Amino acid sequence: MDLNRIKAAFESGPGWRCLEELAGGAEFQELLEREFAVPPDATDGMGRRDFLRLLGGTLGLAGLAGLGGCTVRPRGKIVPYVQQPEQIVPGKPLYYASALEFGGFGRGVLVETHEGRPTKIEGNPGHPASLGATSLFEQAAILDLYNPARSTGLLKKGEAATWPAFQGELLAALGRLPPGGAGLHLLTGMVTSPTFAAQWQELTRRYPEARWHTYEPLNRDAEFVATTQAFGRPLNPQYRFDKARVVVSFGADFLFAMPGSVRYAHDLMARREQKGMSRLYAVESVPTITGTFADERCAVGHTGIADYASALAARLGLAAPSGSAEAAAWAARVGEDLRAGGGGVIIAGMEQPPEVHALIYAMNAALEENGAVGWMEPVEANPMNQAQSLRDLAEALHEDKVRVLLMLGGGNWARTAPGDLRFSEAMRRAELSVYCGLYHDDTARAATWHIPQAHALEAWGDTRAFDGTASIVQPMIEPLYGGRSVLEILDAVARPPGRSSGEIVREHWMKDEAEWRRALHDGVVRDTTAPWQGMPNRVGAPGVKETLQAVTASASSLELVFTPDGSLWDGRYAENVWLQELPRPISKLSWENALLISPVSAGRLGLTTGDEVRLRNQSGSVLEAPVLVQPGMAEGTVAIALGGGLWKSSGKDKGGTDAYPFRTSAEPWRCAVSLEKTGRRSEIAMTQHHHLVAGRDLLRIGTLAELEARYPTRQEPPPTLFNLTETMTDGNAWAMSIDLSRCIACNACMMACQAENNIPSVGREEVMRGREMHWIRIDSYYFGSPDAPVIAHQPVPCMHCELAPCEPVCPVAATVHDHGGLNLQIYNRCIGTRYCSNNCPYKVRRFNFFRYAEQNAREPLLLMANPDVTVRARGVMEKCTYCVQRISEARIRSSIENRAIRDGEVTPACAQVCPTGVIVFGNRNDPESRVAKRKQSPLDYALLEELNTRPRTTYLARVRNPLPSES
Amino acid sequence: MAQLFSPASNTVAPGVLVGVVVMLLLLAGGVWLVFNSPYATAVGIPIEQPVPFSHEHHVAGLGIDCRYCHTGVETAAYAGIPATQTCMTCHSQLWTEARVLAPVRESFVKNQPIRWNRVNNLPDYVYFNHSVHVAKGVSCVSCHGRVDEMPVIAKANSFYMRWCLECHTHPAGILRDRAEVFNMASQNPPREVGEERLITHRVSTVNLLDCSACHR
Repeated sequence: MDLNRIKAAFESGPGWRCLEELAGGAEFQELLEREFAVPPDATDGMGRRDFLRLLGGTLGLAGLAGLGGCTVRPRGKIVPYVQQPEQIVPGKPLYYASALEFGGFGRGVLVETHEGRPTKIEGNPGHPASLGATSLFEQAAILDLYNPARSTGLLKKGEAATWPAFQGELLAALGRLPPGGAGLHLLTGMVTSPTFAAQWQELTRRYPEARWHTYEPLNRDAEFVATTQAFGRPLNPQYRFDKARVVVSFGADFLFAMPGSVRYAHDLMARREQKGMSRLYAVESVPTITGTFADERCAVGHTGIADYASALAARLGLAAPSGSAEAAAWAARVGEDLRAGGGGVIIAGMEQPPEVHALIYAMNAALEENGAVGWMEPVEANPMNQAQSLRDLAEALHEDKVRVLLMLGGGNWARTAPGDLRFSEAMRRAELSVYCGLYHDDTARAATWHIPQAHALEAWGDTRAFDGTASIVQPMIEPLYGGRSVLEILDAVARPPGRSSGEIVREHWMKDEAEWRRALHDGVVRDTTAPWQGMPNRVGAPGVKETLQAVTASASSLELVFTPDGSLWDGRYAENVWLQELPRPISKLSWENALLISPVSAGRLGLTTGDEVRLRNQSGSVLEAPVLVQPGMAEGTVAIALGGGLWKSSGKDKGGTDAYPFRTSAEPWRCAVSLEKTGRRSEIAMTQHHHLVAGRDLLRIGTLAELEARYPTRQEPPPTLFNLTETMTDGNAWAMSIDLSRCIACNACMMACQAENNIPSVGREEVMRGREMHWIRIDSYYFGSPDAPVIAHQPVPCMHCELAPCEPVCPVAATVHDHGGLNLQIYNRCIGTRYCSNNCPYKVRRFNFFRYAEQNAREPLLLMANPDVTVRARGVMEKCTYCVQRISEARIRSSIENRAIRDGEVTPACAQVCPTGVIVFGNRNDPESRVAKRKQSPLDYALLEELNTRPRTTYLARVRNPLPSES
Repeated sequence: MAQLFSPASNTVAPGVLVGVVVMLLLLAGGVWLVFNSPYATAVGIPIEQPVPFSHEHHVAGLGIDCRYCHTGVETAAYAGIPATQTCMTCHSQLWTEARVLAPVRESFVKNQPIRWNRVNNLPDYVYFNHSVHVAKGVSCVSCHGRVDEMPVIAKANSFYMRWCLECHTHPAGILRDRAEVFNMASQNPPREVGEERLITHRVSTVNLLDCSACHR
């Protein structure tokens, strides 16, 4: 066997989507043919007789309903306002600036409201953490607001109670405290709110011995420890990725997992479109969106990352071990590239030990004239070593020193605290424990009092962004479920009987009316951004050498790594079905997490995807989880996402494994484990092998030179007899361009599409049947061998083919073209034959197998629906519409103003949310439009253009920029 | 053996055949009639309201402009139903004791909206926008009829898709002078004038029949 030839075939050939595809054979053929995933038993065990009986009943009912339903006789009422509120015009949305928090840090948003109902969240172009884009979490926040799973009332030991009763009991308990207030403990997640900090100051004047503990399961303790050691006080690093020619990431998923991620993604891309395109190196154990976006990615184990960091440090002239042979070779190349100048960012992930953080600070300082990394005073209101802080609290609880325990802001600590602290047991020992969160979760059940929390769209508040910029959080709607904001609860302690959140925030800022209004309007408070402090010339990292050696020596034959969940973060979004169902980046798991393992390790251990295994750590804890074989995983490493298995609702959609009990406070990020098979198998809901279009060259990827060599000329489409120039334009020829070089697979577009277009969630079972409804999907392709593949991503919405294969096969003309070139789906014509879907080569059509519309037609979800988009009935096909409602809106507006639609006036939801500008939409007829200019690029190509479908959506090839090899 | 069919069968058989066809035609005609009758369309059937509001009195009698109450008609998809406050701008001064206006006063005092009975119902799946129609010279009368002659408001047209398409196919026939849009007495233009207005009002006729013009 000629290894080189196989390697060449891998490298030049089309990418592959799943391991079955590489293996080929009958199994893969079955996957391919299961395209429409007709389940083995679609009727859920219903026999023929039952079916006929039901059918008869249904027909009878339909007949009865038909008698009244076949007329257009007006029914119902029209209910106008009594007093017309200022600015509200029914049918016209209003936008308000606010901010939503991700892990305690603010991201500016604009909230679209229809007659007082928030329906959609967009980024705030004037906010530094947003610049008009958001992440998937802000998009899904709208469902969190209306979520029927939210807790709906005050509970005392599970019994309904009232706010005054709570105030009374709280005051009584506070009165029993000793004079200094010892025994009053506060537990929150990360807090950046200046108002909250001020309230705490006020509270400590009254109770000087009160204690504030902070704990985020995915915390940045390593950074806290490392900066405290290096600078004598905690500092936050600042990064300017637009000023860095070389970026080296040591396990840092900075495009997803950091407070500034949305901005970082924007900045990174700004530098990549220039001539001196930046280069990203990633060293990581588990494939992340940052790692897969990197030009060069090394998959090494958790302790191996420290080895690589130390090798690079040694290369940059610091006192550090020079590492293993591979690490040294890697460091030689990267070190050379870094020294070539142009600015560099070296960044470490939160999972890395403080020693690695200390080392990267020293490395950044060692780079000459580096303007890409700086420092600022911490944004957190109360920076601390969070793991230590929670340990202190648990100890105090076990020693019965805690009298009043306030747990505010919903962290579900009873579940998310490390297993060895036995926190859920400990918190019951407090005389009075109060838990304020959105959901009635385990912590709420264990606490004396549970107070439903007001959602960020329901109460006043404030927050600070990753760079310190403060924003006022505005309520859009009265609390739907009688929630209280954390500010109100703290106020009830500091200043009984407490004020409303509006009074608290307004009083704290006390700006003059004009300034206040301006802050509300802009979504940012002026002059609050933390000043950038330059890098000191030299940052010492004393003692790093010894501790690093200890870290690398701790490597074991099999180590487990805990990672954030790509949709649920630390589990705080576990009740959000949009996020639950959203396929996680890269692994494409939906509704669950799994134990990720590399193909080689899996082969050695005799494991395949779906096998259940039992993990045991050194203290003897046990974790059982199904395995997912994930190419790109580091050898000898298994990984599991935290936050899975936390969904409180039981039933058929229950999936995933809760890894928190297995996590210890001593080793929060990794631990040595032993693994054995349980012999059981379980089916995993994932979409990686859905909508397969195998064996075609769909994703073009390579360096500029490679791409030019491989695709020398742009293919002109074959001739057609249809007169497309006349039928396909009304002055506008709508078209889309998707730049794969910019796509980081953050999933924000999928979430934005779901929020904008009233797309239902279908549940875990239906996902297993391949019936997920997302109009835009992100396919992940692997190139090269399964051990060290290059991973690339491709968003796939409807292509809006000019010669659309779906159209001629529809017997009722329910899918037709309009003159803007849109391939329309006419829901009221559709009879559900699904022929169109069968004939679609791109697999972008979605079918309503069940009555999802009715599930969303009930309050409270009804309030969330976008009134400008039809809610689709059962038995109807649907797909991406290019956001036709936004096109219609622009067409009407421009028509009234007697002008043409301007370039950029129509932005589909997916393009609007994208932090990196992957998607550009506009009029292809206008040569000055951005989309027309993009389509002139030699990198432009259409999917399956050999079929002559003439898609309006085309792609720009993914350009990689690895370091040219010496040879 | 006796004949199976009597001679009369020769008459009955064609009669039955013809009869079946006639019956089917009658049935189809009947269905067509029912669906186009006011029973189904509610055209011309006055609908009682909680307050006996007379468009005839307010529009023809007092000369109040449509836009005084239906404020959104030029800017939004919906023309809008006036808030109680709008009624009270006048009726806090006029007819303050009138018994028929009691629900209006009660609504205002108790801050409870008046629940009007719907007259015009847009079929499902359709997105109609008032503002663009008004801007292009489609008069209120074209769809809503002479409301200035309706003491009790009633639907004036079927609002079937076929009816919408009549104008979307031949828009020139109904385009009035923009200044006359809210004039109840204005008339449809002659053909040449209408054709001219297609151009001066900048009506994009090419996509008037696209599905996406009304459906999303």
